[in-house]
Amino acid sequence: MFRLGLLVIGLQFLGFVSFGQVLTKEDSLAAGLIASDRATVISGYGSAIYENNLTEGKASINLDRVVLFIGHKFNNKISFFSELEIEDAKVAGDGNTGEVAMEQAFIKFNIDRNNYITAGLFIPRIGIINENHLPTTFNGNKRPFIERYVIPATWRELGIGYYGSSTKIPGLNYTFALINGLSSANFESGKGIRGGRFEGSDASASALAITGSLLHYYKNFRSQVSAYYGGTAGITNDEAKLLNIKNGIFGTPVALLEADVQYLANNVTFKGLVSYINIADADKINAAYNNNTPEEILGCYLEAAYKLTTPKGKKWTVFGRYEYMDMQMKRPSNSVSDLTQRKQFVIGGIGFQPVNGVLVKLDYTYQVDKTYTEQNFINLGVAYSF
Amino acid sequence: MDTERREFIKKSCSLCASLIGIVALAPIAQSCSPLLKIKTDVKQGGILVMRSNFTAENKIVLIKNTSFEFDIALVQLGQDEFKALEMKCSHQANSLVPTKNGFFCNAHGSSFTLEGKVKNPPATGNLKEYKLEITADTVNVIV
Repeated sequence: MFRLGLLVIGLQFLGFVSFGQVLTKEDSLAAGLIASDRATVISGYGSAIYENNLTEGKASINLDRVVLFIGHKFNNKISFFSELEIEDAKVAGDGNTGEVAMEQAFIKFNIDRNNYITAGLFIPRIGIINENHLPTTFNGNKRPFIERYVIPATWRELGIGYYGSSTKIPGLNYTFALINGLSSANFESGKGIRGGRFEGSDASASALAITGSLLHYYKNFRSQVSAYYGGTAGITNDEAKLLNIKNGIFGTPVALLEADVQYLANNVTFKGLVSYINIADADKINAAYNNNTPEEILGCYLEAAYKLTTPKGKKWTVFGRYEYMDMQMKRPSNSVSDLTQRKQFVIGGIGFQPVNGVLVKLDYTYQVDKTYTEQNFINLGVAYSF
Repeated sequence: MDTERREFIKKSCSLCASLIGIVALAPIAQSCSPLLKIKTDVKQGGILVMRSNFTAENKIVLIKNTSFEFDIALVQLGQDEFKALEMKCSHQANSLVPTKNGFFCNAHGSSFTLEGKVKNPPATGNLKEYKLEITADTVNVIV
């Protein structure tokens, strides 16, 4: 609180905060230093998780992530947004610690109130978690497996995006983005396309990708479809010839389709998501990089949750989720079959929200793969966002 | 047996995807009546809205005041009960998507009720309200 006070005073001296305006507790904490005539926004989120693998008898505890958001409004048309993330608490030179990464850093240009353009490192609208990845917004300590391995959230790339809302159809939103592509050289067996992301770090612009989405709010439903198509071989002509893969803008492409629906009533929430990936030239990627790339990947999950508010305003959530993913739904002949990449998960748990923005989570995860190897986890964690 | 099971899961997922697609796109295909919008340019004072604009089907009037960065949603909650809410998410100041069922922020998933109260995080604060002067025929939004 004292530090926050110093910060506010600092911002005042820098001219970001108008003098004469009294900062209430709600102004400074609940609204994250946002006020109508203030240009700089500071907020953040984070989570810590205790994980006990009951099958292996091994437990760990980790400060999963701490993220600092800083935004600045230059004028009513142009704003800056950024998220700086530290994963696993510590970054040191021993190579066995966490990471510091920019999760977002983009400029937003408002065309009008219903249309804007983003340029920089941003998160395309694909899936549920990718945009809405704050730990106080999803059930369970860990993000859904499908939205980590099939849709590699948090998936951010460099590029330019257009975001719009229909003035004719209430609640209809759409996006289109041109971003850098992936690197098939960095695909990892069992992890889909996740390893191929550049995340804004010295990305190849020889391979590009397009992505788009339709999002619609109708009564208590939030429904979305999205697609991605992009090249994965941003290499030179000589390298492509040597490796016998097609380079260029959409060379050696990855296509991803996703659809999700959420039902958001006052106390009851249902979520369903399906995602499919096609890598048509997986055989050539395997021949070039020997990384066991599959031709098709499929994942889906269903989740139900019930929220209860006590007379004192405390909120409890009970949820259950089933997930299925097949990271080798179809594989080329030059790949190695791995039945452990076909997994099912059953997750159930509770969340306790003592105050808006703070969540204590307890959940149990049962995991089984096609070799009938089972894993059981209990996770206990705390998350915040402001 | 394994092949059959795999096919079953594939078909189940396909069916699930189809259903999600139908649920996702069906409402768009319907003729959704747009929210009533009023364009104005008032820097300070009042924005007068006729109560006759509100009908049994349309309880929201969206005020696009060019002097302000964010729209104002004037919501009729009861016969003589109105609220004027700023369409700015209290989380990170992004514009909200107004619908007849509430207000949504696409940036991080926050949602708000028609009363302007937080329904889903990460927003923690309710929406800013404007003062109103209500008469038998008009609602005056004081800005």
